[in-house]
This record gives sequence, structure tokens and C-alpha cells, in this order.
Amino acid sequence: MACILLAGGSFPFFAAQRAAGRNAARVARLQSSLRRSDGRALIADSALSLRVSNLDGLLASWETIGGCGAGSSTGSGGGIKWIGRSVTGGAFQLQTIGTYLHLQDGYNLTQFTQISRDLGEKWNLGFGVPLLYKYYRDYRGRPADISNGGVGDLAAFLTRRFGEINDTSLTLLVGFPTGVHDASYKNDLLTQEKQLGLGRFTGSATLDHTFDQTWGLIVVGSSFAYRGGENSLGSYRAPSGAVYGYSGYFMGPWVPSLGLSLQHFFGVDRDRGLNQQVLLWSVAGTFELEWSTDWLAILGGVSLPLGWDERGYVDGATSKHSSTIQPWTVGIGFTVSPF
Amino acid sequence: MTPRSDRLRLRSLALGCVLACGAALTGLSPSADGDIWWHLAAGREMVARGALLFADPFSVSAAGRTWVDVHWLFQLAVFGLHRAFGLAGLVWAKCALLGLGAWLLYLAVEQRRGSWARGVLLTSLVGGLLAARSLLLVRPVIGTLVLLAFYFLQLERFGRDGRVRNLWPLPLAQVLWANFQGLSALGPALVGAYAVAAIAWTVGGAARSWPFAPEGAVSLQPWKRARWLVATLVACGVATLVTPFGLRGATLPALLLGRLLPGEHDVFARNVAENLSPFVLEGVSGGELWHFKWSLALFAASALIAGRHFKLSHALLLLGLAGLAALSNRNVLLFYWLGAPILALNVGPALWRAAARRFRHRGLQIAAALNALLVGALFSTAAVAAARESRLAEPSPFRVPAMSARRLAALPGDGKVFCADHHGGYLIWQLYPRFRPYIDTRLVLRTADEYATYLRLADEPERFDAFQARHGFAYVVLPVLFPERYQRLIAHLYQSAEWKLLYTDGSEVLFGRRDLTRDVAEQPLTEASDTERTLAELRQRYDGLPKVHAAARLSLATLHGALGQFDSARRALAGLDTPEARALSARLHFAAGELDAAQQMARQGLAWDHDDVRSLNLMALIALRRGEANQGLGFLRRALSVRPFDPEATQLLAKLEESGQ
Repeated sequence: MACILLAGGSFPFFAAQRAAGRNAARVARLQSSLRRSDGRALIADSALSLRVSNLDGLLASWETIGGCGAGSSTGSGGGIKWIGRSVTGGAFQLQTIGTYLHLQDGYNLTQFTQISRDLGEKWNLGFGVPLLYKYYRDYRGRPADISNGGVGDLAAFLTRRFGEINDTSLTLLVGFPTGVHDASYKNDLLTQEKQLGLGRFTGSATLDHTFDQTWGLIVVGSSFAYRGGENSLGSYRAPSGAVYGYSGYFMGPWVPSLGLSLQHFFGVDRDRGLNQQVLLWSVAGTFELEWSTDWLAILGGVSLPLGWDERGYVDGATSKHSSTIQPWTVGIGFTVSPF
Repeated sequence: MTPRSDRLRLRSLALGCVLACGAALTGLSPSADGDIWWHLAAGREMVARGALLFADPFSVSAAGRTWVDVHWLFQLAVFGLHRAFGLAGLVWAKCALLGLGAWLLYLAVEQRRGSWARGVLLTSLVGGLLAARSLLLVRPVIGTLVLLAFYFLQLERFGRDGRVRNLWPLPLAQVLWANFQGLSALGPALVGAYAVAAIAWTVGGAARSWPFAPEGAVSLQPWKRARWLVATLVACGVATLVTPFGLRGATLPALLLGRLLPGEHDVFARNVAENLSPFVLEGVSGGELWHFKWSLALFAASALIAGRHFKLSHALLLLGLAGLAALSNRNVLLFYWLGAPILALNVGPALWRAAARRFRHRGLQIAAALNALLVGALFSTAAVAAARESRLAEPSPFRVPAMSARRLAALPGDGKVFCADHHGGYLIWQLYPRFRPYIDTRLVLRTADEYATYLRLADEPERFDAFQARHGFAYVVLPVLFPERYQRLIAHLYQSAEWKLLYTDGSEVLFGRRDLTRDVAEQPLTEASDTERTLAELRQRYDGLPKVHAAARLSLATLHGALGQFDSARRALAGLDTPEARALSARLHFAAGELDAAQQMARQGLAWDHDDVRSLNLMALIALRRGEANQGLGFLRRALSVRPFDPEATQLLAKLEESGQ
């Protein structure tokens, strides 16, 4: 709540900074072109407004920095992938998505913030910082709730765009083992999904293709994730792969979109040597709504996965049968591209 | 009752009265809104016909079109009030309603020991209303404020004591609301926020991890609370249909909301000043709503301070109203109005705890004294602002074409009048049915294309001749400086052989078609004596109002400047020593080709204020005109770094880029 209000309140500062930076660059371009033309004078229209006071609101003329197509995000904040116009064009792009993952015995809050910068038209480089807060009720059947919060595994990513209109992109992401992986409660290590990291380097490759249409956009893609393998505690996360498709429809500043993704885990996760209960296959339906101006894009979404092909043993003291309906996720985020 | 409780009650009563008076004081200003005039005219027409209006009888461009006039009750009320007490009566009624609404909000904030919520409400509400003073117009929104406060009070009471009787008046109030303003959709939205919060509490409130405060008293089971709120929501939704316009009336708010949404091609969102986002307004014109961003930060801090004492219903309300306000500056008032009690409920108890724990009794006394000091400062500012206003019995200066309407009324015959949209209502009120304006501010009656075509006439006045051939206007009434958008069209008409200037006082112009006004004298403008005559008229009219008089002279000089009469313009400014007058003088010198004089004055402007964007723009233009491009670009860069969205500087930059290619 406070973050949303603060984001709104700080928007004019970002917008002004960004506009000032762009204006300065435009003036500098004019000056350099002036030097190249050996001092040829610039011609300014002599018509000058006789308005000397600000008693009434004037009309705005916003410069467009947005464009059609999916945003360059690689950071999917727990099931929510940014689909819409997003915003680009500034010195860098700041995107943050907060998600709420509803679990049967608690919830996970994730705030994934990524900052990236275009290196020319074809390359984009960035890094992401996940802030995690995991809350579980009645831990291991005891009348006690536990929580674990902090910075997760930091990530760096590099995107290469392909095609004449940059409609295909390949993103490679490396996760660094910065998140605590050996937190414990009463001298007992928490199970690995309750940790903030695995303690191992992770990586992923994502291939996206965007079909820009006059009515909207379609994004199809696939990804493969190396989730870290086995760590020093004997915990293991199996690799996973996913294919997905999203379609968004342009309605003025709004872009509602629907998506479907199919995910598969290539193995069963283990916690300190013990297999964990896992559904190897899942399909998730996603609904998102993006609202964007030339300066700011805001996205909210909900994702509901269904899983099947249950493997492994039940984790913890309480035996629970996995339902087909998997924990749902809601998220909200914004993107700005200042300066 | 003990003497101590008597004292507390008296103190509480006094604080409520102070709040009501403070809120009322912030609204003490003459009517400055163009809408009120067509509201009055509609009320008069309904009384004359003895029937409601279902089609537009007033304007040329929407004649006969279906008009979903959901304001009919407001129109009848203001017409009756105006007939009895005049324009001042309407202003006093507005102030009384503001006071009443503030009192209801005061009652909604529970008085209990260990909370300064009511004290914080006093400061935040009066401060918020003072900040949004320019939005406190004689409009149906004032009634909406009262009903918002009433809904808030009843819903909070229901939350506190769980008595269902608190909800019963809401559907009845909704019927009233739906018949006087399109914002009536806020009623069900308010109930909806409480219903959603109650349902959420029913589902997850028992969990220890629930991040919000309980929604209500334990005397009513959560699911019963949710059920009653949903029932009230449905009843309010049905009540919204109880208007002479049925479903069309109920769907009007959605249509209006759609026009607020920004978009590249949305002419209403981009061109109607009150529809602009406060962020846009601030970027472009400096903005009266600079405080909005800070208020968002303040509310964010209050959310953090409240922590788990924050109610979900309040959070939903705050987010919804903040979103509406960010979309359109007119909604900032709604945000401040309901945001103030929520802020007070969030912050008041925490402040009391902090002061009591850290400083004990003395701390409480000091904090209360500081709050009283702050309230005193707010009251003084509000009083000074009210004292600077012109007479309440007359419209705010420059906002209506009063003199042109008087001249038109004295002319024989009838005809169509092309006018600025915000002048249309006043012309309807004064001249209907003899004269009918082309357009007024009932933009819901106009399509986006029609409005865009109308705006292009001001921006590209050469289009006007073809437009005139199609519509056959007899007269044209336009403002000069408030806003300045029509200056090019004025210059075009002044130079046209088809039109003649019948009247101007420098702030409004009345043109008549020559073939229809052969017997009417043209107002001369070119001679020194013409300007002196107008100046004498202004001196007499604005005697005792020096600031208004100066603005009127500035407007007259601007008109002369727009018509290329630079000597007359300087004569109009002679002896006027204000920053605006100096800036205009400099620009007039520039327009006349007197670059040295313009430069000298612009330098003086920069000596007064190093970051004066007006002077920086002018210096840039002077340098460019002299062929000193690098120097010109330097000034332009400075202007753009001070105000990155300044329309003049950004336009100049775009033109230079065009010429440089």
C-alpha cells in the first residue's frame, strides 16, 4: 500500500528528471549538428506566446517513449510475466513486481526489482534484486508460525534481440547464491522451499517471440532453468522447462491479456536427501491487465496453475495430498524508464 | 454526567465547530465555474416548462440531442436559491454544505481516549481543502462531498456498533445522489469497499498473518456483517436506477470515467483542463496542485505508521480515490476529502502514543499546542485568501463574458453565437432563447470528433471561415487571456472583412457579422484615445481591486499585442510594475523587432529570478534571431532544465530540430 502511494508520489520527480535528461540530449544534438554545419544559423519561428502567467492549465504534449510489444522483462515475479506496452526509451528501465503466492499453510511475498539498460538496439543488460518474505502457519504441526524474509538470490541478465524489428529475444540469466540457504528454526534447518536461496549458482535461458498486431500482441516463447542442482546440505532442485503463449489486446491505455504456460520439472526435488512432493507437470492460466502512459506502466495479474503427475514423498510431519489446483499467485508492478 | 465528561463533551463540540467553520471558510470565493450557468438555465427552463429536460434545448451543436440530465435536482435547487439570494446565496450555501460535510466526517472519527484522530482530522481536512481551494466550485460535487461524508459516517458507525439501522438510510441517500450528480457511482463504490473488506475479513481475518485491522465490532458475526453490506450494496445499486433516465442515468458515470482515461487520441482527457492529471498540470503550468505528490507520500507514511491498525476498507478507499485523483485533477478534492479522516484514524493514535510515551503529560500539551498553532496558521491563510477575492455577488473576474452578453442583449434580433466552451453556459443563462451558443461545457453532449474540430478552430483559425460558411454564426464571443488559446482566432477575425469588433475591454471580445450589424458602431482600437477610454473603464470597474485591475490591464495589453498594436499595448502597461507586466513588455519589444530593449528587460527578469523560464525562453529567441545559435541553445537548455515540460521551451526545441534537419 505504502509502496504504491510512494510510487505515485515520486512519479513527477522521475518524469521531470527523465524529461530534463532527454531535453539536454536533444539540445546537445542540435549543438553538435550546428558545429558540423559550420555555424549555419538555426531558424526559430518568431511567433512568441504572449502568455506570461500560469493562471490556467495549458495543454500537455507528451513525448512518446513507449512502443508496442512485450517489455524486455525477464524477471517473472512468481508466475506473472509482463505483457503489454511497458515503457522504454530512458537511460535505464526500472521494473518492479510484487507478488503474493497463496499457500495452503501460509504465503510468500516477493518483490522483484530489476534495473536494465539498453546497450545499443540489440543488447540489454541488467540485474535483479528479489526481496522475499515467506510465512508459514503451524510449522511442522506445532502451534507456531514461522517467517523467513530478506534478499533472495541476486540475478544478472543479458538479452540479445534478433530480427529487423527486434521481435525475437534470447535472455540468459545467472542467479548468484546470495540468499540464505541454511536458515533454521529451533536448531532445525528449514526445508529448502522455505529458504531464501539454494546456496548455488542458478541459470536460465529464455527465448521470446512477439507478434505485433494492430489490435494487440501475441508473445510465444520457451525457457529452460537450471535451478542449482544439489547444494552442500544435500538439497536438490531439478531443472525445469516451460513453453508459453500470451495474447494482449490494446484498449486505449489498457492492455488486458490472457496467457497459458506449460511447465515441466525434470526430476524430483530433494530436501537434505529426502524426496519432496512435487507435481512434475503444470499448466497455468494467467490474466493480466496493464495500464500505461508514455511514462509509466502498471501491471496487475493473477495466475492459477493446475498440476499433475505427482511424485516424491510428502515433506514435513503433516501428510497432505496435493490437489490438482496449485497455489495461485497475484501480482502488481510498475515500470518506469527515467532520464 | 460528571463535570469532567461535560468538559470533554464541550471540548469535542467546540472542536467540531472549529472544523466546520474552517471547512466553510476555505470555500469562500466567488463563483468561477462555467458550468453553474447552464445549471441555472436548466433549472429555469424546467420551472418554465413544468417538466424535466430530456433533450438539449440550449446549444447549436447539440440541439435536440438526448441529454441525460442527471443533475436536474441540483439545477432546480440552485435556481431556487439564486432567485431568492442571488449568486452570493449560492456561495454561502456551498460554504454551509462544506461545513456540514466536515461535521459529518468529524462524527465519523470516533472520539476515544488515547487518540488524537479528531485533532489530526482538523488539521488535515482544513489543510487539504485549502490546498484544493480552486476546486471548491459551486457545483454538484459539493453535494457529493456531503453525501460521501454521510456514507463514511454511517459505514464507520456500522463498523463500530454493528447496528444494521446505520445502513438503512444509504439506499435512500443514493436515490437523492443519483438525481443530482453523475458521481453518484461513488456511493455504491464506497459500500463496495467495505463489503469487500468484510468478506475478506470473513475469509482470512482469523489468521494470525492477516495484515489488516479488524473491520468491526465483535458484536456482529463477520459473515453477517458481510451479508448486510452486500445487501446494502445491491440496494444502492438499484437505487441508482431510480432516476427519470433509468439505466442511461446509471451508466453515465462509466461514460464520464472513460473520458478521463488518458490516451493518445482522447481529446477530452488531453484538452479539458480539469481532466488533466495533476502531474501533467504541474509539469506544464507550474500547477496549483503541486502538493498532490507530497500528499501521496504523506498517505504512504500514514500507512506505514498505522501498520496492522490499518483497515482494509480504508486502504481500498484510499487507493481508489488516489487512482481517480491521479487520472484527473478534479478528483484531487475527493481524495483529500475522504483521505483526511483516514489519515487521522491512521496517524492520530500513533501520535498520541508516541507523545505520551516519550514526553508524558508535557509532551501531550506541547503537541496539542503545536497542532493548534498549525490550525491557526491554516485559518489565517484561508481568511487572507477569502479577503483577497472579489465580491461574492458577482462572478469571478474574467470568467464570464458579462459585458459581451450585455451588449448582445441590447441588440435586436437573434442568432447563433460562436464562443469559447466555458463561455457557453453564461450566454445560455443570459441570452437564451434569443441567442444560442455553438458550444458549452456539457461535453458529454459532444463527440470526440466534434470537440477536436472545435479546438482546431482556435489553433488553426484559417479553418474558421469554412466553418462559418457551414453554420452561419451571427456573433463571436471569445476570451483574450483566460485562457489564451483563442488569441490567434481573435486576430484572424479582427483582420477579416466579414467581421467587426463590437466590444472589448481587453479580457473579452465580441465580434458581429458586418452584414447583420450595419447599424451598430464598431469599437475602435487603433488610436491612443481608444486605449485610454478602455483603461478608464477598467479603472472604474475594478476600483478597490488592484490585483484584478492589474490583470485586466495585462489582458488589454495582450490583446493589443496579439493584434500587432505594440504602442497601444505598451500604453496599457504604462506604470504597471509587476513581474508579469515586465515579462509581457519584454515580449512586446521582441514582437516589435526591438531586440535590444527586449534583451535588456529579459536580463532584468533574470536578475530578479535566475531561473525565470519566461525570460530564459525570450533570451533564447533573441539570440537565435541574431544568429547566435550556440548562445540561444544555452538559454534554451537552462530553461528546459528548470522546467522540463515548459510548453514554450519544448515547442521551441521541436521547431529548432525541424529547422536543423
